[in-house]
Amino acid sequence: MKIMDNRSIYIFRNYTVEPLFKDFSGVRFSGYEDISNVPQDISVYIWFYTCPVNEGEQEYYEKINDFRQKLDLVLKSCNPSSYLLLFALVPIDSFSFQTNKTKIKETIISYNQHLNAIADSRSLTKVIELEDFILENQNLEIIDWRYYFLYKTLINPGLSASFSTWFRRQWLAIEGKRKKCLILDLDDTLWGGVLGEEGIEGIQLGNDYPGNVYKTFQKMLLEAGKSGVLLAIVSKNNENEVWEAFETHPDMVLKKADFVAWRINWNDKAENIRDIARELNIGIDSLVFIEDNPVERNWIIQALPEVVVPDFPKAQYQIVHFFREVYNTWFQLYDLTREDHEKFQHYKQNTLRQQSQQSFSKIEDYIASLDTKISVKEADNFTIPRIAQLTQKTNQFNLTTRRYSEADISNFIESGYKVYAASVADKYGDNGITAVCIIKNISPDQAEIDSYLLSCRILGRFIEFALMKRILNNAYANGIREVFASYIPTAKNGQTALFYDKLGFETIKNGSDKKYLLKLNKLFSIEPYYSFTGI
Amino acid sequence: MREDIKKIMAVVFSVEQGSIPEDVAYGIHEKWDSIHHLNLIVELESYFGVLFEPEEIQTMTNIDRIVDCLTLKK
Repeated sequence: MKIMDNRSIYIFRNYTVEPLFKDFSGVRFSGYEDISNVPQDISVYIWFYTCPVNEGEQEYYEKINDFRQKLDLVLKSCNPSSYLLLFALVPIDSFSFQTNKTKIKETIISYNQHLNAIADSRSLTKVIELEDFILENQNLEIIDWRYYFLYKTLINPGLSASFSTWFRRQWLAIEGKRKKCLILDLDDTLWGGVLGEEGIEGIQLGNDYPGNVYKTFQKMLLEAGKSGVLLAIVSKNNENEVWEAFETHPDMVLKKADFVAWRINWNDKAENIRDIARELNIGIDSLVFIEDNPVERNWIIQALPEVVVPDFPKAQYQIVHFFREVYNTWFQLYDLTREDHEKFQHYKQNTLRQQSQQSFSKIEDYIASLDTKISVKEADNFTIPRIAQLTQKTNQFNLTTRRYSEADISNFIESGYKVYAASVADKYGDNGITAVCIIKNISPDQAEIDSYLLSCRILGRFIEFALMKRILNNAYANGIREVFASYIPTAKNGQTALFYDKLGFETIKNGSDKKYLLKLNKLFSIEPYYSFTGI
Repeated sequence: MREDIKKIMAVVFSVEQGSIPEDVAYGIHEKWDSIHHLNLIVELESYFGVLFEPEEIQTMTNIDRIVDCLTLKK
């Protein structure tokens, strides 16, 4: 259960996958097909887009093509030092409406090859074969249509326990191999000879053979340390003498500050190693022990079988080569990107070419390509039920989270409030009524925004700004000059905390509920790629 | 049955056993949002060995209603 804990995970997705990850902590989810927010303080990004279901043939291709463009945009802005796990597409649902199955298969294969090409060129990137999970569970219902239509889940949430197990296994295969800490012996390891016998001047470390071997080895260790490998010392020596050597020997590359922990004493080395693992709060199985003495090595192998204890070379000139292998085997996980991907090399060039034709360098260009149509209308008897429902259900993008019944909405309209419902359509389809704004007129030239909310279905395209600007422009045209607004924080609506600030509202009252005022003296300009109808 | 339901709720909401009040309700209890509702339904179905209809899932918003739905299934 602990394997991915203490990591912050961010999942890009097109369906509801929260139940599948309920056993993992520190997981956040994007909106559906939403890539507008790419947080940076993330250790593992997961790209979990699954084949769309219930789409016609043309829409199917377009969707998958769209996923690909989105992923390319995410690649440009995600934190390059974080993991990226890419779920390959699997045709979960049969293509009952679609006639050209070959072409669909090709589309999926091409998408998956694109993922492989990305994994090949970006470090810390791995393709996850969802198909393995589907095959393991093929006797069970992969899609539960009740949950699909109620909650937009594709993979049956009833399979969440087996999904967790399976996914942890995938993660282990990726990360489990990598060790965290190198525990180093000193005499005849970091330098030649025995410090306690030969003294600081007597040890082999310098620019001639064999001292140059140890100096090179230390330089490599320093580099390893910079790349994130923890360096520690376990040595039978007098501690004072050791630090004096590190401080005063002119050819000593490593310094005391390069080590995160040490046990320099005459105690049992197994005990010392266990101690260091405890001190650093890492598993015994994340340690590699470098030691020239075969007796000590064998003792650790027996006492602590989880620790990796590579055979130290007999010849001094082999030490550098030896360490390179140790590093590649146990510390350079990032190399997983190379595995198995040669065969996609030729393909990569093709996909890169395609990419350059299709990819958008800025999210604005992408949004512009969506052909977004927003229709804003005042509430009527047909739309009141949906408006009330949205005030009840919307948690994330909701500035005040006031819940209203249908009767409340009707009363507002009778009292002269403006209640707007917006429906949003784009080239992929019509999302229906997905935004609500309730405005209370205070005086002929003053108004207050009582509620403003958007369904998460349409987040990620800055529609929230365009729509509010449109509404404010309409208010301005109707003689409103001052608009009051408030933000009421809840556990869920943090993403809207600065919404009014971004639109240029002035804060007039801080505190748990923030109040704002905007003096309207001109029209907002709205990006031309949103087309509005209605108000 | 009520106690079993509360135990399942405590696990699904990741709160302490025994901290689920009798009048716990969807949308009122801070943990009981739509995703936790979905998780709760999945757990109830597996624990009691039943399948709920979508209409039932939408009405099971407090303990009384969950008990009603379960009783109908028995």
